[in-house]
Amino acid sequence: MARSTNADLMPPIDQLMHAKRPRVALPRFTKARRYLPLADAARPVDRVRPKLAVWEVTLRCDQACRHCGSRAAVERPGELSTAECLDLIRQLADLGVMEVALIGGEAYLRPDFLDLVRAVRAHGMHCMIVTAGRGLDRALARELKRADLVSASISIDGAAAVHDRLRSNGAHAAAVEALRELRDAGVKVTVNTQVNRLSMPDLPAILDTVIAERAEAWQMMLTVAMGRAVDEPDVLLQPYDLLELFPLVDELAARCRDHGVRFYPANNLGYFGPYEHRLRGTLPQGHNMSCGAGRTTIGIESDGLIKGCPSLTSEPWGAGSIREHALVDIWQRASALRYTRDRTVEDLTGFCRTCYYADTCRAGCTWTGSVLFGKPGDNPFCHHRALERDRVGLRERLVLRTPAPGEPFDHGIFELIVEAKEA
Amino acid sequence: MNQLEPCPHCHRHVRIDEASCPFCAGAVAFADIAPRVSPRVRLGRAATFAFGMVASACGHDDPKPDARPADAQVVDAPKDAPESDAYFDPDGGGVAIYCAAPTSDGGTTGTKS
Repeated sequence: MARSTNADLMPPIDQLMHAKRPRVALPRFTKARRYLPLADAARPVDRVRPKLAVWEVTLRCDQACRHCGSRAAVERPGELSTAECLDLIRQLADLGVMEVALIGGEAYLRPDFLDLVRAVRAHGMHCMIVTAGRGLDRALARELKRADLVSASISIDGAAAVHDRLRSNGAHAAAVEALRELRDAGVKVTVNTQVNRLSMPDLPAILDTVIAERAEAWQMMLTVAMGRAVDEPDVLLQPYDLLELFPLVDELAARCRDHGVRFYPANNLGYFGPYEHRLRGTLPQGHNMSCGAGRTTIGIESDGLIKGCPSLTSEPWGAGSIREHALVDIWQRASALRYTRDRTVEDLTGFCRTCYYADTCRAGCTWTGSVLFGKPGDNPFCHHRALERDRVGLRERLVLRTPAPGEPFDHGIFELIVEAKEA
Repeated sequence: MNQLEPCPHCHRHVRIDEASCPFCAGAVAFADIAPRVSPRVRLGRAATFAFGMVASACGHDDPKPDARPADAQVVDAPKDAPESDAYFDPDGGGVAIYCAAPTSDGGTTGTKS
């Protein structure tokens, strides 16, 4: 891969590969959770129903990945009990959710994990898990098949050296082994990959693994500046790196098509560049459609906090606790969930406000942009934007000004520098 | 919200009322292009992702075959699609979640009330 023009500003990959692991502090759970009261009534627009629920069933994890946005390690105080989880599953079905993805931490570390999978299926919803697979052995894979798990997505963020550097020693071998055990047990397997400066050169090698291991789909998303990822900001892509990334993604997507692998760009891999019609051409509108948090998707934290998207920060995006309100009331009447339903161009800032695609894109992924600046409305991780800057000899660079404090789902504050691209 | 279609020259998405592409200045003519229609049934993620291929297979007479790039997927609702789900969000949208990618049959495809 050609070296970026920021070589004088960013440490080289070799140096990043050998960077000492930052001290992994246990996350602090210091803030008392208080949320805005619910509105008195639901409006017609609030009666939209989520298709997908992504549920962090525990924050406990058997790895401490260096790019983990939630700083998963130990369970949260007050995680939902089995009875509370089963009731929430009933409420998700009543709300009209069609698919439930169980994530963590590591979802399988919950002792009642299989009961939750069975309950989701018993309520007629598809059930999926997302896992790094460290502890997912043959016996568990077979149990998951018996529980009627529909699919499992294994996180693979590079060839062995990069993946293990980002996660832990031996993590790559464990992930591939878990993929094989699940596949051999009869569970449909897919792969998800975070893209950052370390994993980007390895993307072709990851696809080799996806094809060789007969995974059905490959999801790709940018590593976002949240949690532990903020502790190593030089690992994150810069916005202008998208100029190099997207031609590669387009090539890889073509390889996926040739091998019958469904390529699935996550919502923060955009937007509206010259490859959009191929990367998202099969979507109903033929292109990306802004952020689905609180519209097509609902997120759940392991202590029952409801959000529009599981990746959003707990504050200000936490809408309310399932322990205090019925799910349908939170979904329809919480202001934090109404944000994307009500968002217009008037809510955008910076480049996004003046963008040609503003009224369609609306700054794309709420999460990706909001954790950079502490507020939503401007998202520099955009291929179209990088192209437009490049066309007039400019580029955008992010510099961390305020580190993240060390809490789950925390973030820092970045400064956006617009500079001549040869700088 | 404006309907957008890829420019046949540079492949950037362009509003269909444009006479020329704002990015490459090439002439575009989308005046007669059929409107994109969201699925009229509520689809799971995988089904939404696959909707274009299914819809394309239903047949569609593009009034201007050269109006889109040759490799663009044409997507319109099946003519026999059921009545709209009152709560379907036609604006769609996804989330960049650390999440399971949809598999070919990993999503539900029917209505759910």
